[in-house]
Amino acid sequence: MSLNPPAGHPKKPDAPRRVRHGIKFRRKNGLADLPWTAQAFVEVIQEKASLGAQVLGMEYALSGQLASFSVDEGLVEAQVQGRAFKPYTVRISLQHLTPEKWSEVVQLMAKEAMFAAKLLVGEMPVDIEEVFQECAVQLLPHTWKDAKAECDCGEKIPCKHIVAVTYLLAERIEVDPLVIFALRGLPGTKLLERLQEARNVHSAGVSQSHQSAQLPSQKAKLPPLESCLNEFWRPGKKLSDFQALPAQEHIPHAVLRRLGASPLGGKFPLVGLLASVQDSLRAKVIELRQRIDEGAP
Amino acid sequence: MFVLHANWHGDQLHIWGESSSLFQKLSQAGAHEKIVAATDDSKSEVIANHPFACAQAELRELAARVGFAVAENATSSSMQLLLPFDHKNPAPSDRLAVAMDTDVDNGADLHLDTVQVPTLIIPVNEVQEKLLAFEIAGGLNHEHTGHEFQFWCAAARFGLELMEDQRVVPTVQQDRSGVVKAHWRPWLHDAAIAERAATLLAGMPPICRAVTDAHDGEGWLVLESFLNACVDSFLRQVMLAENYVEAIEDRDPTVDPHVAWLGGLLGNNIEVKNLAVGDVSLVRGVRQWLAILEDIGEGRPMHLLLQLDEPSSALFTKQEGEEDKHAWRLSFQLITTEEPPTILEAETIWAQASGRGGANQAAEKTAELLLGELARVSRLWPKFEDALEETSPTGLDLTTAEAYVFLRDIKPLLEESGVQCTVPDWWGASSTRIGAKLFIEGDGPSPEMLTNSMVAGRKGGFGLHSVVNYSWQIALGDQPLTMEAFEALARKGSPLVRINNRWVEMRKEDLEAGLKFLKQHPGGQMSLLEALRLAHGAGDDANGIPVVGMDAKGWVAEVFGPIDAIDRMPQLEQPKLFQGSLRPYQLSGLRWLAFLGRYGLGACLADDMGLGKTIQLIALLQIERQDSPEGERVGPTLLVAPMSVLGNWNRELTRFAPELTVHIHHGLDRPQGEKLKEVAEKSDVVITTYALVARDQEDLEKIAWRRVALDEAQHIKNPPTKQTAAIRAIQSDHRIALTGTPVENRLTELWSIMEFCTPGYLGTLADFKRRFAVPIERHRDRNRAEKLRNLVRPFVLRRLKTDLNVISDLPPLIESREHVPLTNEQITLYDQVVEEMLSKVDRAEGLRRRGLVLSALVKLKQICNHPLHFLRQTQLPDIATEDALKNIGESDDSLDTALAIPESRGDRSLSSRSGKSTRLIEMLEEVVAAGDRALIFTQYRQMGHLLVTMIRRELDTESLFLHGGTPQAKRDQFVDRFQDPQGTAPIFVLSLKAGGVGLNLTAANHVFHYDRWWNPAVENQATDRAFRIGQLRTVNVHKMISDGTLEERIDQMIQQKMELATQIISSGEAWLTELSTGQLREILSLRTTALEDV
Repeated sequence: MSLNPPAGHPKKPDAPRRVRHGIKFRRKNGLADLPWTAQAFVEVIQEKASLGAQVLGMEYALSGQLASFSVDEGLVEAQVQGRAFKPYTVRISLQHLTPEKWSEVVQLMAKEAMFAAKLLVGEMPVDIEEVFQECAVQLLPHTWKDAKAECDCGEKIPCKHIVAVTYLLAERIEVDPLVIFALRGLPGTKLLERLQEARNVHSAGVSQSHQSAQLPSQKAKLPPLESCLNEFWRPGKKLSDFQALPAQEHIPHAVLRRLGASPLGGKFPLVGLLASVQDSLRAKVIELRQRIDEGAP
Repeated sequence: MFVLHANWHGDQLHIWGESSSLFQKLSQAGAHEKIVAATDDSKSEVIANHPFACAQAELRELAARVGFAVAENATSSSMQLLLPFDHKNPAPSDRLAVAMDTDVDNGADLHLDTVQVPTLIIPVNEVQEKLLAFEIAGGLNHEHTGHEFQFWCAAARFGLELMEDQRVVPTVQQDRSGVVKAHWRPWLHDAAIAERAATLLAGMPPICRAVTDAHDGEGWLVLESFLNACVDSFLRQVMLAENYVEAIEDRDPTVDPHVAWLGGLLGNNIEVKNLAVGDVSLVRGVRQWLAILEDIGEGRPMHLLLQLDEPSSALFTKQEGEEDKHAWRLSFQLITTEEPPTILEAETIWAQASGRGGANQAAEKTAELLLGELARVSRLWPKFEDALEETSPTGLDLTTAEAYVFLRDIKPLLEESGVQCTVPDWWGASSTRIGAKLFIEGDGPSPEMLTNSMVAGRKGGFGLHSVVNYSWQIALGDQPLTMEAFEALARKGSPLVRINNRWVEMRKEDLEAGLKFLKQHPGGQMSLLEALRLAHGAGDDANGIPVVGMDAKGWVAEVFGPIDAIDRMPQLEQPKLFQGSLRPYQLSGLRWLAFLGRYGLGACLADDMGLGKTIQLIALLQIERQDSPEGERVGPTLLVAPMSVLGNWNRELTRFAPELTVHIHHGLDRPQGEKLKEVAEKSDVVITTYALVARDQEDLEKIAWRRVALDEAQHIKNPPTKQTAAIRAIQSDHRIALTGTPVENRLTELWSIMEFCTPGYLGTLADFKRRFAVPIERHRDRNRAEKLRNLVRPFVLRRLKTDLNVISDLPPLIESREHVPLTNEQITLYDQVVEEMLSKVDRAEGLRRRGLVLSALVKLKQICNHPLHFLRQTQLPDIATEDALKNIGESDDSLDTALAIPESRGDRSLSSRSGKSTRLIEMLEEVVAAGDRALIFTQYRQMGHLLVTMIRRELDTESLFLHGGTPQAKRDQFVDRFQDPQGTAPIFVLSLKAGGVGLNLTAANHVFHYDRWWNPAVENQATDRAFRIGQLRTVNVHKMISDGTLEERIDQMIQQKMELATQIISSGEAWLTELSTGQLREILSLRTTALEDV
């Protein structure tokens, strides 16, 4: 328990400077009834932080001393206004998983629909830690050592600022459990995308950029082979119908023009190149056709 | 002997074959013995080898024999197929069964089982070109080529067509390992394309999906995989050839997803490299992109409807030439998908959405939908963004230039994207394009005068070569333009102009072509033939400008005025001497023949079988005699027909025009040289065969023919034979071709016939192939087909039984007797049997005598049917077969087969041994070509088998065969198959006893009675299988009768209602047994009227 006044900063006031529109901890019942995911972070900080840091940290959190708070770049970054003129910068991070490990995790999650289903509605699946464990990694921090926290206040780490930020993080996790994935290096939305792709692969073998075309006759499928034994070797009558269908009028680059600009965000003039490929293609097919036609007896 | 097959497996085409010698060994070993043991008995799952698949080592050589080239270093492989099994072994394919002359029993109980076949691989990059080259070389019709090749060729052509039309998209896919691969894929999602693909799929022979692989018998997966692989491979070859990879060489794929993607598209490498581990953004991005194509508004309750209105005509009262400032209005509407649809104007939609009575939610949704649709179309044409700048856009004002862009360029794209467009109806109509109008004038006397003054051997006796004056004028639609007006238009340079109160499309290329054309064609003189060609659009390609009409003056107007419409031709009454009455459509056919004949213009009468082409020609012969001036004799007509119908012609001529003198130029004692000339000049008609024209060409050429007419004109085929050349060499004033095959679908046949009727009209064969046959048959070019139809329309008259004005003239049932001659082989056999019987009955009495007579009668009927029918039954040596065996013995492959193998599809070696079957096959060919269906009744099961074999072999057509031994379940199945509109067996052979009652076979509109029962009631009952409630078409009944035989004799007695008739009808042939030997001789021996074969 240490409520020592900070040494060496005589000019500092007794209370932290107020922050206008600061980010506040708003839970009605404090740290009670937090979801298990958020609880993990609180427990880790409580394990290490002094009681004073915990109390003051909560005070900071409640009074909105955080000028900013983000978990965007794979770590928590916050500006906490203390008694000094400038706010302190707090960073809390977890060890990121390697891309290979993430792939492993995603593949494993793809096997059970439950994971994608829960994540899609913004819930953390209860079995999530088991998946990570199976890949010999973990999602949530278990001990203080699992996390990395820093603050430029100069006090003993974890300081009250870090505590405050941790509480805010816990509150955020309760609202958006998927931020935890960001802390492990893969934002939740990206995880969901990859999960969906992996699930495509899982069910169909591959994940494709488009579905196979639906034929109008899909409703009236070909009869099973067993019932075609007497006409096994002959084309159906429709083959001559097909051959009698008149060719379509050519609309230059119809498909490409309907596609418009690529949404991929590349700099290379993709559509222009594709158009020229298609022109070469058309020319080559016509050339082939003429070559074959001329070979006609 | 072998049959070559192809299957798609593992993204490659595998070829394999069935061997007849192995099949024969297998049959000899006993069909129920399974001679292939599984290679490994310890496992139950081992798949047996196909017992008569060709050995791998032979495949290349065999493929080469049918003209399918396989590379020397082709990879060997194998695959497993699910095939129909008969007992313990695979059943032979239809082609093999025909080649082996195996009696076809399509009632066999088959089941599916798996076998392994050795194959050779055609790599995907060669598949399309190989298949198409094979098709062009005629390999598809080769009897050793499996029918599924037809499908693969069609699929290969479809793939090329999609690429030519640029309907391919780049795609990506990611697999389990996370590797991303790029592929080119045909875009098959659009409605019109999907419809085509579905039609193609429906034509897929089951064998094509018989490989046991991941596609699991799913036809669409097989077809899609084929198209995918062919398209991807072809594109990569194109890009490698043009070195497209260079374009991204110095780009960094790690920062630019486009470059990374292209890295997998532009060359042989398909992997998209340089993507971060687990990066799914490319797949998702491309998916998002391609989803734009898929989004054609399906599932929406309403679609966008754009309506383009031309500027109000009231604005044009001032000055022409200022229209560019006037606005074309493109208004926005939504149309509901329900039936009938409701159209909502944008104004209404906005008004309702901001309704003062409280905005309602549905109206708001509709407004959102409209905005969404507008946003969607603005991707296709940025002009739409102008509208989106307004709060409540209701439409766009377009300048004339923009309206043109919309019509020409944007509208088709919008329509593909599921947007409906309503535009003024003049758009796209041919009457609104620039063209040239032809003016011709004939000087002097009408060439009609020529026709009655005949000079033997006169060259170019046709009116077609008469000279006419001509000039050209530029026209819009059919309205001529003055040169000044035309040049003024050209100066204006606007793509849409208003002329005579009408908007017209003015393509720059048309204007230039028009000006150039006028310079090059100042006018002058040309032949009537050339004028007809030009007036019907023959010169369009060369001139770059369509011929939009013509005006004729002088005598030419008499020809040109009515030539495109029979009802403008002079009226005709039925010839006075015609014994019978012509149906209205026959009368108009006569009118047409007479009109063309008067000007020496050739005619091809191609009416459907059964509509009476014969009597139309007979009536023509009468009418020209009736109309010729007193004392002037009309020259003879040379009628060339196949042997099998000579008798029929003679009979019909006697019946309908007994006053005409007919000479049948046939037989060993036929007149020659001067004698022939004499006979011919005294005759009205000289009938002969195709074979004899070639033989007696020299004599026939010396006669001044009024006309040469060909029956079954499809006999003059290409490449020209000696017969064809001889027929063309014979000069006459007029030429007529009769044919029942749909000539418009067989273009080189059409050319041959037209070249006979109107020489030179369709140009040289090479020219014709290049301009019409290849584009129409291979590329299904609609415009060319239309042009050709226009071009031949004056000279080809084809009426179908289904034509409305024909239907109303036709009785529901038409009965005809097909009199056919016996072949020499039949005559010999017939005489033998008669002589043998007569010599025996003399010495026999009572029951034994009766037995002898009856058995001889059966033999005679069998001989009339087919020599083999008789020989097989009696175990007599079959001379023809023995000869064939001898020939085969001399060839290398003596194991091959017991019968002569026809070398090509046209071979008629089996049917040509019998007059009846020759004629039957000829007629069935027309039935099948016209898409009709036929029943064939015979009393004999053996004959039924023979017919089925013949039909398969010679017409390459599947038929069903129902006889007394067919179990009930199979009968029902046969009836269903025959009645199914999609069914592939258009011919149904039935034994009279088994099939004469109870069945409902209304899909048939032809009924053949191959041999006679004599009892009309029994025959009628059989006919009624087709002619009954539910039958909507005219049923043609053909009774086959061998000339000179007892068949003819008895038929006559029944027809003439002789006293004996009732007895004949009630007792069949039993009455004959009561006759004396002398009477028997008289009735049974061959009459000399029978035309002998030569």
